[in-house]
Amino acid sequence: MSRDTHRHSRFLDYLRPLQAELEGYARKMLWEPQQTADVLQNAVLRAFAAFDRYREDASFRGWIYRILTNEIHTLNRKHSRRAKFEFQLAPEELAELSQSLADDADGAWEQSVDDRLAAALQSLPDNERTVLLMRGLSGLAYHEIAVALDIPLGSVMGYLSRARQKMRAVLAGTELNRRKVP
Amino acid sequence: MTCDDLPPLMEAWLDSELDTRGAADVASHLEQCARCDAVFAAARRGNEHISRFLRPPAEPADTMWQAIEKAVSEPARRPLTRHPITWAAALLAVLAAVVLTWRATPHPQEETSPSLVAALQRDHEEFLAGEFGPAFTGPPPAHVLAAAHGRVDAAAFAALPAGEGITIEGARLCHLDGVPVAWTLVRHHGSPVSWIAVRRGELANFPALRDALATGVPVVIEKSGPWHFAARSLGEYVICALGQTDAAALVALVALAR
Repeated sequence: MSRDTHRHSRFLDYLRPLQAELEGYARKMLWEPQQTADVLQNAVLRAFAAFDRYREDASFRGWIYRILTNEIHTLNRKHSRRAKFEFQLAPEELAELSQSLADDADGAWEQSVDDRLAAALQSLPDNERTVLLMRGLSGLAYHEIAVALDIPLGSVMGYLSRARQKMRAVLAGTELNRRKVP
Repeated sequence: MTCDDLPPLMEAWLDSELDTRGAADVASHLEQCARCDAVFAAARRGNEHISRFLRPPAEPADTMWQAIEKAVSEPARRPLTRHPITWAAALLAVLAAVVLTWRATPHPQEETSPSLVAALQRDHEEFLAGEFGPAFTGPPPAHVLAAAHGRVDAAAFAALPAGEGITIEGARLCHLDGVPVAWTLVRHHGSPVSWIAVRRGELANFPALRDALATGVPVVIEKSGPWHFAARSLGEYVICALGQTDAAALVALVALAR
């Protein structure tokens, strides 16, 4: 087996078990989810090109998440000028909205809880959304997130705590709404 | 450890990320404090729901990953580093492509795509300037529907908000960048709101809004200068509202429309 072939197959051995989670992470992180395939391909090619510099004693997951996250942020920034339609309500406002709609007995507010969580997720600041998805979707350990984002462990905990509080506020509002509507 | 010490540790404890001693201290406090225990239990249930919502696809999209793996494989079979001349040719090709693309597209697409928000904002400002106003109240007269040539029907004028503080002043047929829409002047606690219903099929003329709705968010909103804009799908129409009313109230108006 040539060195190139060995390098290639070793890279794929690392990558394949992570494909589903990387895909889910990219899809939820991107302002334009239809660009998931493009951003994944760019990130994977970039990772493969740099694979010689990857140290085996480091977490491959943290390393490739760092590359993918940079690709996503670059693309999101590029589209931010025209990403005019982001859902900008603060989660607290969403929760209040759920309560104000509680008397809506014939179900005008028919969106599912997941729709509202998706809206709340989009409204999170980038750093909170990134950390929440790395932990909640991908299950990265705190230290892996810290490596991937090159931030202190305390920041990981702070971002995660704020992100979850906001998401839980939406859930609480939704639940209140569900109980009040016959 | 007191109740005040716990909040900063809660997520780490729920994620089993505390060290042994920290975890033991938290567990000991929770055993003695029913209030903190209830808060932690509620947070755990919330986090479980969030995790279910966030879970990745059970299986990766095979076709996409096959294409990505193929892209990775190709340079492995034909390593460019062994053929420096290939690098030079590739670089020239990329430079040519960039220059050609740049010359061919003097304006970014986002600047040339018609914006429904911008068009509605222009109409709203013209209304505020007294240049036009509602033409009828109640159901649309036959001549109005005839002028719409079937692209707007009576149902479009009936998809309206209702509730405390909301009054409907009247309506008219308008054209936004040539697209006919049912325009209604709504007042929300006295503040004027331009309210339109546009057929979903017409959104091909406004791709930014079409794409935003396609993401599945319940309501899409935008802030443009002093204006808030909100839109959502309602049957075969998309209803939109624009005004200086705060964003949450505008979303509620759109959400409650029938």
